[in-house]
Amino acid sequence: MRRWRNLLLVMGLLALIVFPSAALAQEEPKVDLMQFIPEQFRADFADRNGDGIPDLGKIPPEGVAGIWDDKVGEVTDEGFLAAVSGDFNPGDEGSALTGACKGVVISYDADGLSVDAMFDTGGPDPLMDIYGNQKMTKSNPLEVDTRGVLVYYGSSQPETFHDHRWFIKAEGVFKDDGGDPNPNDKNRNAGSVDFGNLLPFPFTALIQTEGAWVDNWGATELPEMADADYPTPNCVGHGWVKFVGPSPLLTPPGILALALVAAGFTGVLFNARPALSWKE
Amino acid sequence: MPETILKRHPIRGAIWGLLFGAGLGLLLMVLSIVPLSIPTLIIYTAAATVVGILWGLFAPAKRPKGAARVATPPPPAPTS
Repeated sequence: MRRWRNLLLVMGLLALIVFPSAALAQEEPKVDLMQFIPEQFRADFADRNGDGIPDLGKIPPEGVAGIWDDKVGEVTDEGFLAAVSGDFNPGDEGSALTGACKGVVISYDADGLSVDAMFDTGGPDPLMDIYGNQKMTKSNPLEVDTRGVLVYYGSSQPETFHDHRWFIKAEGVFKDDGGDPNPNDKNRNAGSVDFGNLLPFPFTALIQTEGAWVDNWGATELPEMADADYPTPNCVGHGWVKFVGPSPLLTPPGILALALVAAGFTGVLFNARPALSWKE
Repeated sequence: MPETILKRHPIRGAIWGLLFGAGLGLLLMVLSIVPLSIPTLIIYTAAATVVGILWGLFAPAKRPKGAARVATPPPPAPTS
């Protein structure tokens, strides 16, 4: 009897491991992301791992910075904590990107192989993955390798923003903001973010993100506010990002968490219990 | 019958509970079971600290170590 039970357990575990990956492998890409990549660069983005997402040959240059972009960041703990906090709603498991903004984001691992991708066509549709599913939701977050690179192309066409300001925030992890008077009437930008170089150590986490990009705001920093309160035209979005990488328990935060749990549990169990002693 | 006294450890319970709660919150976040969020981490830590205090106050007490000292009767007064 016990042997049958164990066999069933093993088969159940195997099914859990094998079938989701098999189901994913059967999914066929419905969108060709190569259409977002200029023809002269397509040779650098051949699909080497066959997942329908272009892989990375060499790291493209960083995007062009605006003159109001924050190049220093927060310098105190209090400033950092205030910057990475906000009106996040953990109950909101969806994603959205409103306004004229459109573009594509592809994340890569340290070897330049694609991890995940998403795009937005600027219309009323939400952010999508290449399989036709809504992207950046809690159940289908954008996966980003903390040892890898993220490549993006974005545009506001047919709008052209001037004196614009933007911010992007990931709860508890980072905030960045900037802007530009845009005298040259630019309405698109492309570049890369090398997380392997930026982050002090790899980590894994599911994180809520939000951001906004507003036309004609001026030089002052763009505050976080309700979507409807931003002047138009604008682009406002929110969603979920999952930082992936090595085994979570082998990252510095994972090791610290395990050590704290082990120490706390042992202490509670053996050092904090009330104790009887003989009266002298 | 030898008497015992009960010693409670709410402060130790609070300290170990705080460490356990912070570690558990961080572990769940690292494993992406709960989203990374500073308020959530504070809630886990505070809740575990309270549980630690209650444990230090009301958990089943450990038995006393060793055997009870039996009071020996004073020696009889010398008679002359």
